[in-house]
Amino acid sequence: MPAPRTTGMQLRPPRHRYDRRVVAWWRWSAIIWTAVIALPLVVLGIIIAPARVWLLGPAAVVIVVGGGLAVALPLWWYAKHRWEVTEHAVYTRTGYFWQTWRVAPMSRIQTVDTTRGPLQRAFGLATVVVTTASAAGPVSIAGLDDAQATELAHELTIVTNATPGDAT
Amino acid sequence: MNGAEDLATSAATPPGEPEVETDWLILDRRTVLVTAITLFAVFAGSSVLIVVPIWAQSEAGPAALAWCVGGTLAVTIGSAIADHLRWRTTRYRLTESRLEMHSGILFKRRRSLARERIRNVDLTANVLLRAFGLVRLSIGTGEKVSEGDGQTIVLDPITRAGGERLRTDLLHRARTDTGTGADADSAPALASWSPQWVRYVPLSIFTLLIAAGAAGAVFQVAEWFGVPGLPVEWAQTLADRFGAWPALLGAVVVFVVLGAIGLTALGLEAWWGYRLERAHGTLRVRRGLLTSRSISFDEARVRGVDLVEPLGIRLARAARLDVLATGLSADAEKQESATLVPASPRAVPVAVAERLLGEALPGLSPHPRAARNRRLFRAGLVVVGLVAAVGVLVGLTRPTAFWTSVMIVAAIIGSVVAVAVAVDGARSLGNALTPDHLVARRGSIRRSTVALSRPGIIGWRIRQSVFQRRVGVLTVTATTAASRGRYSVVDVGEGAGLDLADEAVPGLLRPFLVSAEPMGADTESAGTRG
Repeated sequence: MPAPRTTGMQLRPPRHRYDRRVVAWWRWSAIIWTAVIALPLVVLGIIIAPARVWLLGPAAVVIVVGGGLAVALPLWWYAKHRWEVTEHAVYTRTGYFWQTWRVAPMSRIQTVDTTRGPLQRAFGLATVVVTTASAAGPVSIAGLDDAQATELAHELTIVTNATPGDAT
Repeated sequence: MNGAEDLATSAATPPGEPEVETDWLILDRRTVLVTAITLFAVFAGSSVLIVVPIWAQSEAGPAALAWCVGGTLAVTIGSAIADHLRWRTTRYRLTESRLEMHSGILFKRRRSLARERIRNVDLTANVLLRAFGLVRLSIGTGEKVSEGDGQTIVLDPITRAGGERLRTDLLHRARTDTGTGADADSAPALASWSPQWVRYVPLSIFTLLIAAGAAGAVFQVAEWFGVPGLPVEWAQTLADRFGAWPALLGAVVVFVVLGAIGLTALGLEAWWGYRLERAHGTLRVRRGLLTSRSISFDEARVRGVDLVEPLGIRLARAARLDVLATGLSADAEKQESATLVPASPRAVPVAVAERLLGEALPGLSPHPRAARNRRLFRAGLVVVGLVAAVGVLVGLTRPTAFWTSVMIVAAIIGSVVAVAVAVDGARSLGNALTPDHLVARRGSIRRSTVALSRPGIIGWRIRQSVFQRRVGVLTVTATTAASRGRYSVVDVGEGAGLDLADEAVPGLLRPFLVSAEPMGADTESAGTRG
């Protein structure tokens, strides 16, 4: 007995894409993670001759999978990751395999932060983190231009400060 | 003043009786005695466990006894002195606007809670505190503070009368409708303990865990007494005498019965004398056979209820009720401090839920067939995994015919359970909207029906995996400040799920919804991929 009362609505994508540089950032993150796992295996494989097959084999698998993800995943993600801030809410869409839409109303926002990881900074990017009183985790927009992120955080702070109540 | 005469004097005029509200008050002095007795009992008890085996097995008995007696006395006296210092350095007072506490021997600690932010006042008293007429008071603002527990003041201990009065003063402030006196026992009970409910206590997974623990303990004790092989010999003897299968089943039955008895004892201790009261905008749970507990929830912080039906309890047509409240951590669920009604005939928690919600629990709309297929598919993976595991184990270890058949039987039972849980879990899924609440049900081994206050929803998280996308379902999660922080409607049809979220909090999701054109989503993602 499928849903009897559906009105046939669906979620539209949020308006804005992430900054284009996010692709390079994701790609380098993937490359670095792959290297962090694969390098020790390769080095050990060269040093320890008897176990060479058992070390270099997994290393090859890690490199192939990690390299493949480094090429394809950032493009898939870039196509799917979107964000939007309206007068009343922050709306994001993230993920490819597990696509996630988040909506946080302005009236329930508790804090607005910007964060910049070292690699992120190298690409001139920043993350805007919007927390509510829920333990479901913050809503983050992890791929904005540095200056744009600062400005957005500032605007959000003004809007949320203007809203009374303890946001629970 | 020595300890003995202090007992008499403080019983007559207990400290902690305020004359003027802003006076600094002290804890009850008998805490020193309570601490000393507690530690003496613990150490004397473990001394017996240490000395008896040594005495029995070697010449070192008297020496061990001397060490244990000396150690027990040293710890008892030391802890009494430490507690005396703590007692002397702890001060608290209740002013017009704040509750303040100063404490600490080396590091002075000052805590101050604004009275209008105090939400939890919990009283607990173990057997010893009760014998002295004392109570431990824990006072909190009900806010989640990750660093330390700076938002909680613990008064350990004060007199029971003083504790009750302080609780009333703190929780009923600003509700000037009624006087604060004499309501402790006259508040109407929403539910109260029935001794028959004890039969639901052992119907829990913990019975099996305690049973497994008891079986493990047999080996542990055997090892302590230097005969680690003994249980194996017993098992061998039993198997020889009764046959392998009867011996195995008999052992399982015996340990499960032991587990049930142990759990029932724990349940009786925790829930004896249970009573749920509602007065002055506060919900109060009182319970406990040996340790008495009083847990209060400010109704302004309540965001709904969770009707929990673990499998065993559900089969007996029973259920329990948990509260969803802001400032209540997810751990509260494990410690039973979020429980409003313990496992009891389903009508009881349902009636309490409906009183608290102010409306009837509605009938639920089922979820699409795809939700059932997803669960059956996962059960299929479990079955394949079990068959493969048995195959590999038998192939590699070449066990005896008996153990091979045990593994096969276990795999068959596991498979049947996996499929049954899948079908039952799919049947559990359901959702509904009432005028004030979003109701969502899920789970088989732990079926949970959450009724979340619609104004308590502070956002949405909608998630769809690639597998869900292919069959047109998604998971709608309401985020909230209460308890777990998020409650999900799992594997609901795409359209129905979005409609539900849209309707539950008017205006929040609507700006982001468009009418579906079947090809719309595809062209959008295809266009942006390149």
